[in-house]
Amino acid sequence: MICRLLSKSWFGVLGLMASSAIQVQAQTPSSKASISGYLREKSSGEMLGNVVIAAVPNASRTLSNSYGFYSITIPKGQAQWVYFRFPGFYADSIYWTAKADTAVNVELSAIQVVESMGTVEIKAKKTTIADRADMSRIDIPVQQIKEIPALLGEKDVLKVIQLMPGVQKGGEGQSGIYVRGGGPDQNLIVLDEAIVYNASHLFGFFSLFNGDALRSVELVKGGFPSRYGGRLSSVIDMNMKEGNNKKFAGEVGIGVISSRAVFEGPIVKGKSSFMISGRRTYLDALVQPLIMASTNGANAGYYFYDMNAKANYILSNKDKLYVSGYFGRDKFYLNDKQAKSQFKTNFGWGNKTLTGRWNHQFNPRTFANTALIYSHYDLSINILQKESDTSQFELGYSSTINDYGVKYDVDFRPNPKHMIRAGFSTINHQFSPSAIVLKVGSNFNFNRKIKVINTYESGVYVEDQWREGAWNFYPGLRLSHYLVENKQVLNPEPRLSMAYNIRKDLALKASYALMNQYIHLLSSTGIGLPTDLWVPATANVKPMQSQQLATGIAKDFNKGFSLSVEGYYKTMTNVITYKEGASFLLGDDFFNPNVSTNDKAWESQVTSGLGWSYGAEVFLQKQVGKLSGWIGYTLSWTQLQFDEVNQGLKYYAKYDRRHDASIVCIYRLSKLFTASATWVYGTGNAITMPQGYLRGSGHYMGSFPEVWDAAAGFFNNELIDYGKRNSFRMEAYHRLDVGLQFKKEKVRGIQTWELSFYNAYNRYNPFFYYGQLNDAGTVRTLKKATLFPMIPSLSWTYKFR
Amino acid sequence: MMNNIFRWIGGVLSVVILATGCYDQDAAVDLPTYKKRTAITCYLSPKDPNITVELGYTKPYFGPQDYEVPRIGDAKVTITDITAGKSVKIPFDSAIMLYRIRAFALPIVNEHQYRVDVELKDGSIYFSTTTVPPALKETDLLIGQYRIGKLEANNWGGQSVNVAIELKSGTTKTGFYYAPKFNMVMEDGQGDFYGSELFFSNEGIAEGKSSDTLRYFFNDRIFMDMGPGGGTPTDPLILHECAGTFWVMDEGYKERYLRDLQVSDNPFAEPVLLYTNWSNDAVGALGSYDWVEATITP
Repeated sequence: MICRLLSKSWFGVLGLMASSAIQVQAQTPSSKASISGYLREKSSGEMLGNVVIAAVPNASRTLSNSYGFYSITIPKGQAQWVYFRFPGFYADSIYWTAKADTAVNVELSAIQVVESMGTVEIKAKKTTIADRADMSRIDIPVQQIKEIPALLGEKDVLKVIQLMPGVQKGGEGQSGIYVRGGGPDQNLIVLDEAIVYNASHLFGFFSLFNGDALRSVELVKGGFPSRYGGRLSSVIDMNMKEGNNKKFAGEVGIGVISSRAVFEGPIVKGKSSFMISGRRTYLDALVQPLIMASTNGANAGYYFYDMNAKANYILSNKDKLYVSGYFGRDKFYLNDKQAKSQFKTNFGWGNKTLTGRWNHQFNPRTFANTALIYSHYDLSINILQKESDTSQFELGYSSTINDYGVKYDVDFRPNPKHMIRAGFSTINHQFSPSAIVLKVGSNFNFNRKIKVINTYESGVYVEDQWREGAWNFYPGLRLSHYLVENKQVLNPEPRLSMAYNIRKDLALKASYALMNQYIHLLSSTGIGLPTDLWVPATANVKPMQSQQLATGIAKDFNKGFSLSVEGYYKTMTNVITYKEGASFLLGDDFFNPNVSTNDKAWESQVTSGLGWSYGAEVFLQKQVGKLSGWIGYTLSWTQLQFDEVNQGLKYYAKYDRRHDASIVCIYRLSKLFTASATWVYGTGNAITMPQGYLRGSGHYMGSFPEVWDAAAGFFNNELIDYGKRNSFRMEAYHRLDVGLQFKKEKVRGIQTWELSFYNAYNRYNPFFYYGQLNDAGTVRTLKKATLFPMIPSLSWTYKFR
Repeated sequence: MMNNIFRWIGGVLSVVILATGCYDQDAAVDLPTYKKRTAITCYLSPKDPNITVELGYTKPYFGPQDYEVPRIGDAKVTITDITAGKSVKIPFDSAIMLYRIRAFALPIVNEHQYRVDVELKDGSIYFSTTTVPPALKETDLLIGQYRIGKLEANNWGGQSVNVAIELKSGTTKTGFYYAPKFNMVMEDGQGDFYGSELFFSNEGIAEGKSSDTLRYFFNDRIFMDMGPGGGTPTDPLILHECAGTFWVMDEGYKERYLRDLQVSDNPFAEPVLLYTNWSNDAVGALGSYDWVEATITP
């Protein structure tokens, strides 16, 4: 109903918006002048997005876009102070008389850490949250990611995101995230505009994203701008660093399980720069002796690596090119070679992304970005078993997704009241759910490949950030189109965020968003294994859809504190899950000739249903000063309902979490020392546990038939009664991590030692539960297994300049 | 094979986890709430000389345990042939602790629909229905294509051979499920016979297709034992025959059968909930099945 109402009225709103913009544009040449250009960080030349630009006394305000482009237009003849403000940077200003369109590139200086540790006060005003129309959006400061203590010292973007209100983690140590009741597949994870599918290393314990390579990380949980589409629950938009275009710089780090390095510098000074970063674990080297000792000399191990690279070239004042890519892979290997026999296997999965972008500035008010995007995910398993020179068995399995996309965005700023963005994107997803090659000896070959499924996902959007007095509006409309198996759907997705400033530092906010998702993740384990299968919506499995209403209040306080309180209500339709009793190993169908290569076996394994999530979030943040960090609290409920699961009754989702809290503190003790601590608390997961059992008769088909005769001795068949789905609550999860960084200036750079303690008070959080009978078999008790006790780690980083 | 891989992965991860520590201890949380549920099991088949209903209840999973099989002997149990419009009461036989009558009291007939009603002493009522699958004929399963490789020496001093066999069904019906349970017999160059069981994916259970045949594909590497006289098998090996039973079942039988096999110790996997097609929150299955014995030759 809400959706239908908004859809109807939306075209009218968009029409008004466009006509007002056109009117304004028509007036511009004669009566107004613009100041525009790019905002950069002074020491590195990195572009700065989300910088507040304000003209005084005109009281016009705007923000730079993610490419650092800004434009502010005011009536001709006025003399203005134009201020540029960004948290962590000194504010800058210029005096400008609006006689004609003027191009000015501005460089802001970061407040040096050494200064902020001492007596220098931070004068830069932060971007106020009360001042923004959008809601449910959080910029994750990349510097803070590096200062927050982490498991085994591995700094992890997704695990920092898990500390935000409205975001829940999965199991212990896992990097999967659950936003406002949505599953891990409902997050659009974008790295330089390319979609990343499986965003984890080491079976989910670490995320793919190396904080050294990132410039910005933004999380959107609701009130989605219409430029985003394709996922129901969140957008995690990450941009890589461009690379220092003034001088060569870099950083190397050595940790407990991995080492990393990042290098950046100019290719042609002031014109072109590069950034390259890499990371590799050495778990395999560490565990190799243990494995060899415990086996008969087998060579086995596991490692992952990832690499980010980016280069840019300034063609002219108005044109800039970027090329960036990510390459990462996890690999498990085993080679057990004996005198005559051999067992060898490789099990690997990885992502690749490649993005080419062209920024073009048409005029002082219009900026465009064109992107060509490639994204790839694959999982492969290869097995060789050799019993003699003539007898061998070879199996190869692979599952891949290839995305080819094009995206075009225009950023148009006709006057300080409007920031209009419009554009389109289209992606060709090529899914190859499974392909198998089997060779047995020299005389048997078996090839089976499920037909590639081609889908086309497109979107056209327009959105406006519109200021009118104390009101901020952020209306938008996205038309999403999906084509699969000669069937297509066109879905309008209206979006609206709005804010009313009661005072300059206090705003009431509300938002509505309708989202569609044309891809599903089938997970049989719940722990984010790479074997979880991404599958497209098809003619039989419909796209998921969500509608979310949110409302809130935002308040800025003195000393850099800001507070937001939000409530939300989200409904989801066509959410899918495995049917009860479905075969969890789709591989069962590899050799099943009753399943043709055109069949999508998973279609018959899943069932679709409904989801509801609602709750409230509190977020108190302090971004600047000696003490920084945040406190987040979430009160939420998430329920699911499927006709073919739990007898059609509603049940709480596994990650339904009534209370979820996190406290993050970073305190600069002195010039040399920075202390940090994180405390998290979460209600236990809702899981399905045995409640009772029955001893009953089974019946087994066999080559020699027997009639079913319960009396004849089938009584030992013990069947477990789990009761209702997810009716048992695990113990609450809580944990404290602490860290201490010691920074020392050296001649050529800064050396940092970090000592951290994960789970500092050694809480035995449950990883999973199981029942155990005592030796006499007379009493069964509930036991829990804990994965990580207190784990200390030490790392060393050297940042040279 | 896949188990091997996962065992190795588990090994490597275990080393990592043990290096950091993984602890087991008593859970400091309330035990899952136990709810006593009525359990009813009944399978009907035209081949079964009896009609048997097993009636009991569930016991708590945690806490004190014993080996007593809880039975209910004072309920009123009735079976009705809905198609024929006939109903009989099934008495409790205290000697075997089951409700049982001879099937001639109410013959179980292919494609007839049956309903079983249970009324407990406390007034609780449960019921379920099933349609007995259509009868099968010996000619309903044929050997399609097959291939037997050459004998190869294996690492254990014996011989192995690669065998691929396809079985094809005749006409089947949607809504019912068909599964072959067969052994194959190979004959070697000396006239000796060697047998092996045929395994098919998903227990060989496939839903009937009114417009197409069902195909069952066996592909494996078979370890060849010594021959009947102690000799070793010799090439060429040929397929002599396949002998066994061809089964057909309804949804209730199939679901219960597969779920019994899908019980997993993986603590992360979503547990397979107990199957039930009984009303009023009882657990268990009312299922029906039939089979035919057959010996098929290439």
